[in-house]
Amino acid sequence: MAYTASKPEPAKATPEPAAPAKPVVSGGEAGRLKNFFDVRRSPIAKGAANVAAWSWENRGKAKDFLDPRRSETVGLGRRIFGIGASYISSFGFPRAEMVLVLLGMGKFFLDIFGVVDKTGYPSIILSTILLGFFSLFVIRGEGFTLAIGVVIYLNRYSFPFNPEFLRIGIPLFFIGGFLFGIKSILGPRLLPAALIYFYDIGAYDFLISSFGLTVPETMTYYIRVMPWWIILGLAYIDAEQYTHRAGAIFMKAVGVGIIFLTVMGNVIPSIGYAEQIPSLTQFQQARAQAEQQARTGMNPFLAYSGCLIEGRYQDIEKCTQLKIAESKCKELEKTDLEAHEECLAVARGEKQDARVIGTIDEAQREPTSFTITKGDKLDKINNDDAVPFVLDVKNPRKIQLEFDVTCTYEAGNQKIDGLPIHTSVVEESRAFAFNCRASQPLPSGQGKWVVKATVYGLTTTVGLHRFFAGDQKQLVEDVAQNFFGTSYAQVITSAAAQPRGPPDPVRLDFIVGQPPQNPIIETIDPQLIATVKNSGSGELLRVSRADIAMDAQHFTPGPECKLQQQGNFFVNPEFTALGKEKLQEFRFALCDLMMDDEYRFPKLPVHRYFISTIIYDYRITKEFLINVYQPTEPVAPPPTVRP
Amino acid sequence: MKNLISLLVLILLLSACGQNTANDPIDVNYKSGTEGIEIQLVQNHPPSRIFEGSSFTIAAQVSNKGAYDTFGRFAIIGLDQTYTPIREQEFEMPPLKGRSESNTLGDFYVQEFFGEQTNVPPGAKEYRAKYLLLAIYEYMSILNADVCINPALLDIEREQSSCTVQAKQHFSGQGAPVAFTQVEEVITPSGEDVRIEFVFTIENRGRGNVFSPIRIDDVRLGTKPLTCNKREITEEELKQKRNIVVCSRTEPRQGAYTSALSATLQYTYKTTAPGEFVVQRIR
Repeated sequence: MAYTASKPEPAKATPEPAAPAKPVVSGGEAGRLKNFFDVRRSPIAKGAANVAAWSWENRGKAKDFLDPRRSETVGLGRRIFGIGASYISSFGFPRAEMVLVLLGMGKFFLDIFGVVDKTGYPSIILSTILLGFFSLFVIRGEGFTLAIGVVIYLNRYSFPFNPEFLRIGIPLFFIGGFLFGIKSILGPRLLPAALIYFYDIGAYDFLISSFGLTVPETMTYYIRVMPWWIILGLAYIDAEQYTHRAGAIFMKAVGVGIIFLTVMGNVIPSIGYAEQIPSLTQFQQARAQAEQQARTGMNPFLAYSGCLIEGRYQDIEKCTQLKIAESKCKELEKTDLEAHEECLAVARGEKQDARVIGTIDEAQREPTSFTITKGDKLDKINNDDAVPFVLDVKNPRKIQLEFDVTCTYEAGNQKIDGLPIHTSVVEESRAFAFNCRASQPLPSGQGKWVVKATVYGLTTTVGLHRFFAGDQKQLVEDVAQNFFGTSYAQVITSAAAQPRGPPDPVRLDFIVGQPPQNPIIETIDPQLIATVKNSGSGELLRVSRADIAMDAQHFTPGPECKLQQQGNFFVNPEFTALGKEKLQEFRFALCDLMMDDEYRFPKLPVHRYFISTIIYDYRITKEFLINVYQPTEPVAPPPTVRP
Repeated sequence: MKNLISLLVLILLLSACGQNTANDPIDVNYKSGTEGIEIQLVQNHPPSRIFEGSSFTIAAQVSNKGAYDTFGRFAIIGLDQTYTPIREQEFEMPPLKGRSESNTLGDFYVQEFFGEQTNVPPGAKEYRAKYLLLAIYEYMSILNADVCINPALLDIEREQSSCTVQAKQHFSGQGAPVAFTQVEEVITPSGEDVRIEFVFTIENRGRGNVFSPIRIDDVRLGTKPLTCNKREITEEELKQKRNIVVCSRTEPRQGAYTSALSATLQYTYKTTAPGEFVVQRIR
């Protein structure tokens, strides 16, 4: 709907006939517009009128602006100033808060039914739409410019604040402020929606894991399961303003019901580690990892509903818990039966949670990583052209790494192998340039280069601080305070008690103690839990060595334990990564250990820094779309960049 | 002339009443305060950052800043033998005399721990070695206070007495970390006799922890022993404020008199001092 039109019309056709209006709309259109803006007459605006009752001060400005008499007198700058706000304010959106509730429900159900991956781009797009909708229509443009800024920043920049953003941010806020008013920049009412968006895209999980913050489990649970957009919409519904109050009240009741049923469920353990340098991808990874580790399972609302349908009224609480438990552990059923059994027992509350949560070691902050990027922006090639790529390797620990790179051109069912490439890297950082070239001419049309880079001999070590205090109870408080920065009662929750290592793609995280999370081992025999975690985006192809250096000679593994002592180390001879290439986490060992007397009754508390080492081969795959032309067809030159 | 001599004598007399100089004896009560053994790390031993492969020495000055003689053991905990190996972790502390007129600072000595070739864990660029120095020593606290024993029942009798009873006396410390902080005196007639009760409040006012039960010994009124309701207080009782000991004695009623109340506490005490250094990988 455009306000300005080119064709002049007689004054009688203008909204205010008495005014010597300069004609700006045609007769028929003017009538329609007049009806639209007249809240008493327009059918759409009747609804909007209710909404407009809460609208902010620009409503008055909008009226003024729409008054042609006024438009004649104001300058161009003043006419443009606040035009966006006036437009939004006058346009309105009937029952915007109700629509937000419905949209929120849509997103909530898409999430819980698994239609949309919570950590994927579609979910982020949905959240962006909801944020935009909220700022534009529910709070009538308040914070709209800020919302755009938030979206741009969170999707492009990193924490802590990146000044690069100011290049876009300053003009954005200037233009946005001019078009939509100051409130569109400041807009405090945007804050809850911005926070929900912040959570939705995974930035919350990223911050929590990066800074090693400890969030109470119950709080984490509520944050994770709450249908936040519904709550936000409900907060803005005022049933008194609705013609059909019963309908509005019903919607509120449904929303409240969903919230009520949602909060019933199990407590979810906290989250693990993430990489240091954030980006949207890393936010998503952190969220994915948090979701994976949190194992929220079936939504409590659905589980509860399922039990109601099954008529399990007598033991509905138990039934709900069981349904959630089963769904939480489903993924493990196919891969690791032992882990699946244990997962079920933990989820049902029959057994203590035995998962291993790791953290980043300050002394190994930088990950060993490698990425493939296209050498330049050329995405149209002749059928015999090679396409340049770069294998960018970060090797902060200067490990001897061997790389195999393969390229395969795929177009429809056709696959053409490129020539394999091998390289070695020992440097701290290296950008290795290579070309993907097929052994035969490529078929013309659209296709893609599938580039796979496999690294051999990647080594990751993880350390774990443990104290053997024996029966010296009078010293455990000193140990807890001085070495774990907390009281003995709280020592299990200390980040210093967690395994620490670099944020590499794969780690062998382990804990030992009684319970295993407790870093101070007294006289009771400890338990050891070790898991292999693949938190990168690739496949763990092979593990050539995995061991835990932990004074193995001082411990005797229990009968169920698969570990074997090799000098100072424990190894698992049965361990293999075969068939678990894409799993994010799988068990290395779960053992009861018997301590010898040297560790059971030490004269003074003994501190040991145990180390796990995993040496593995890892592969990442990346696809690059490309258009192939016959040599006779001229390739369009790349567009010139205008200053 | 006589006047001049008188003036000089007066000046001499007045100058004798001036301030003490540094060499003059000062009446200092050494059995005050709440200090015991104090550990002070010797600077640059070790340096805050050392390179892998190098050896190191951790040195600490151990001073007895309390008023009583002591002995005990001195240890270091927290160093991992793989990365920061140390030759000996625990030593006997030599007997250290407390502060007194003849030893105003108290005894002190320097304890050294010798570390051998350091290492950095694989993959890490450095290793942060945290440690805790630990002195566990025998100590005591002796209370000496004058108390007025006045069995008078009537106010008029009390007013005519030679001393006045102080129902509660407060103390800051007896030159040791565990202190008698309050003594309450209760006198009740019992036939021809009077029952004299002293309620002692005992607190840990030091910067460390009590490492053993506190034994209450030798509670006397003058030379006469008192009977106490308990012989020791555990560390747990101390923390939970169950730190009251009641000692009593029945005496034949007589006139008011002042006497010396004394009591001794004996215990093991623990003082700690944290430290850390970084072992850096050689690039």
